[in-house]
Amino acid sequence: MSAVEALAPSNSLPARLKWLWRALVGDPTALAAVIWLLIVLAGIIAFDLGAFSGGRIDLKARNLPPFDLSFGWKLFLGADALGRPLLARLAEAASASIGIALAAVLTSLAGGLALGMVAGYFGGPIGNLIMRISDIVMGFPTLLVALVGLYLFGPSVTNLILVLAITRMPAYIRVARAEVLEVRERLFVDAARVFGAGPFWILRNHILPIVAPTMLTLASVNVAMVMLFESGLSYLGLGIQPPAVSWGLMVAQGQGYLATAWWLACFPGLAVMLTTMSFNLLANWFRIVNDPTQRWRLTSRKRTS
Amino acid sequence: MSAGYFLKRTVFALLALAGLMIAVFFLVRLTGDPVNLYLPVDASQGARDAMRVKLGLDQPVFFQFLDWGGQMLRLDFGTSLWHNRPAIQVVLEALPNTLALGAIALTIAFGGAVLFGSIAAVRAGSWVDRVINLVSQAAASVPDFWLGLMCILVFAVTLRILPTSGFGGPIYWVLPVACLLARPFGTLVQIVRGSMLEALNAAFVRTARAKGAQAGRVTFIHALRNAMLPAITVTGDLAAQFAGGGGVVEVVFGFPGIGKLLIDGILKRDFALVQASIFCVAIVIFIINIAVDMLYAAIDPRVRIEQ
Repeated sequence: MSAVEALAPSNSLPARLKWLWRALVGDPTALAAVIWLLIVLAGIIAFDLGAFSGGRIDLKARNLPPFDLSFGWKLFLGADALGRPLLARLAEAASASIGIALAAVLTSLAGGLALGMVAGYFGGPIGNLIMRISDIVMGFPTLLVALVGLYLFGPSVTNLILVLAITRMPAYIRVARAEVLEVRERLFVDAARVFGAGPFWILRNHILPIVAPTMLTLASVNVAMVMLFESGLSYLGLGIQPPAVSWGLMVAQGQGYLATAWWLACFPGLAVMLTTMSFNLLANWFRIVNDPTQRWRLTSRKRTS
Repeated sequence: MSAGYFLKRTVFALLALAGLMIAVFFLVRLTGDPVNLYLPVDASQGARDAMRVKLGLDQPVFFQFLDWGGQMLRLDFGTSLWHNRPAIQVVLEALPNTLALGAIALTIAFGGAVLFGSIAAVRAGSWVDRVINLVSQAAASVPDFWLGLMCILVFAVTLRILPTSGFGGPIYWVLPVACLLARPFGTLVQIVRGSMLEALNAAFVRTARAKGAQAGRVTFIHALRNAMLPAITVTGDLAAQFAGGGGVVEVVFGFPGIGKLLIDGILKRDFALVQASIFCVAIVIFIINIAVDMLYAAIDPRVRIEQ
C-alpha cells in the first residue's frame, strides 16, 4: 500500500504538474499526441490572429503543388483550386472541426448527465420514458439517426451539433443513471434527505461530484468519435455548409481533383486522422493516469526495462 | 434462449421501430411542409399543390396518420421518386449487397483482430506489441471515406490495378471491403489485446499451465476463448451499425448498397426510399441482435445457465 502512495501525485500544484509531466514523458505516444494537438492549436490561434491574411483567392496559385518554399511559407502545403493556401484553409477548418466536436460532446455530456440523473434519482414514469427513448435512439445505427435528423431539420452548424449530441446522448444517460442508482442508496444521501434537503440540492451537492469523473472519462473517449463522425457528415454535404469549411468538407471539395491535385483531399483527411488518434491516445493516457493500480507503468517504465 | 425471452425482444424491437417511424411522421409535419421532403427546393407551386393532394396532405393530420399507419402495416412505403418503382423493391435489391459487404469486412476484421490482438498480448511490451498497437490505433482513427479516396488514388489512378468504383466481379469488392474493415479492425485489436492480457493473468490459465498443458493450447484454447467474449459483443454492435450500410464507404465507391441508397435518397429528397430503408435496416438489426445473443450463449455456458 505504501508503495502505491509513494507513486501517487501529491496534492501541491507544482508537484502535481511535475508528476503529470513525468507521466507524459513516460508514454511517447501520448507525448506525440500532445505535440500534434499543440500544433493544431497554434494553427487555430494563428488563423484567428490573421497570420494567414484570410483565405484570399489567387488564381495564379491554382492547385499549386505542396512542399515548395519558393512561394513563401504560406503555400508550403500547396493551394486549392481557387489558389487559396491550403495551410490557411486547414487552420480555418481545424477550429470548425474541433469546435463542433467539443460543443457536441459538451452538449451530450450536459444533457445526458441531467436526464440520466433525473431517470436514476426519481425513476417512475418519467425515468422510464427517458430510458425507453434512449433505447430507441441507441437501437439504430448512429449514421442513420444522424442522417435522418439532418434530413428533417436541414443542415446547419446548430443542427449538426444537436444531432451529434443526441446520437451520443443515450450512452451518457445510461452510465449516469446506473451510477446514480448506486449512489442514491448510500448513507450520506439518506442523511441529507433526513435533514430535509430537497432532491435537486442533493443531486447537485452529493451525487454530481461522485458521478462526474466517470462521465468526464466517457466524454474524453467520445471527442475523437464525434470528430470522425462530423467529418463523415460534412463530407456527404450534410454537415458544415460552404463558405464555412471543415476538414471533412475539404476532402469532399478536393475529391474532384484527386488525379491532378492529390494534396487537396489528402492533407485534410490526414489531419482528421492524426487529431482523432491524438484524442484517443490522450484519453487512454488519461485513463491510466487516473487508475492508481496502473499509473506506475507510466512513471517507472525506464527503470524497469 | 427461451420463447418468452424471444417474444419480449420481438415486442420491444417492434415498439422501437414503431416509435421511430411515428416520430419521423410527426416531426416532418411539425417542422415544416412535408412536400419539401418529396420535391426539390425549386419545385413550382403547381407541382407542390399536386403533390399535396396526391399525398393526402390536405386532409386533417389525424386522418393522414390513420392512412399512413395502414400503409405501413401493409408494408407499402410508396413509390420512389428517383427510381419510379415501389421503394421497398429498390431497397430489397440493395440489401443483399450491403449484407455481403458488411459480413465479409467484419469476418476479416474479426479474424485479423483475434490473431494480431493475441500476438500483441502474448508479446506484451515488445516491439511487435508496439507496432500492432500503433497500427491498430491508426486504423481505428482513420476516416473511412478518406481512406477510400486514398486507396482509389494509389490503386486505381496511379497503379491502375483496381477499378475506381462500380459494381461487378470480385475485383470491385476489394477496396470497399478494405476500407470498411479498417475501423472495426483497429477497435477489435485493442479489445482483444486488453481482454487477452487479462485472461493470460487469470487464475484458470495459471492452473492450466501448472497442470502441464502446452503453451499454445493454453493461449489459444483456455485464454482466447474467454478473451473473445468482449470482442464478440463489440462485433455484434458493429454489425448492427453496418446494417445501415457501409454508409460513406458505399458512396465513395459507388457501391449499390443500402448506405448509398439511403444517403442518395436523403440528398435527392426521396422520402419513400428513406422510409423503406429505415424499415428494412431496423429488421436486419433485430435479427443480428438475436443472432449475437444466441452466439454468446453458445460460447459462454454461464450465459446459458443465467437464462
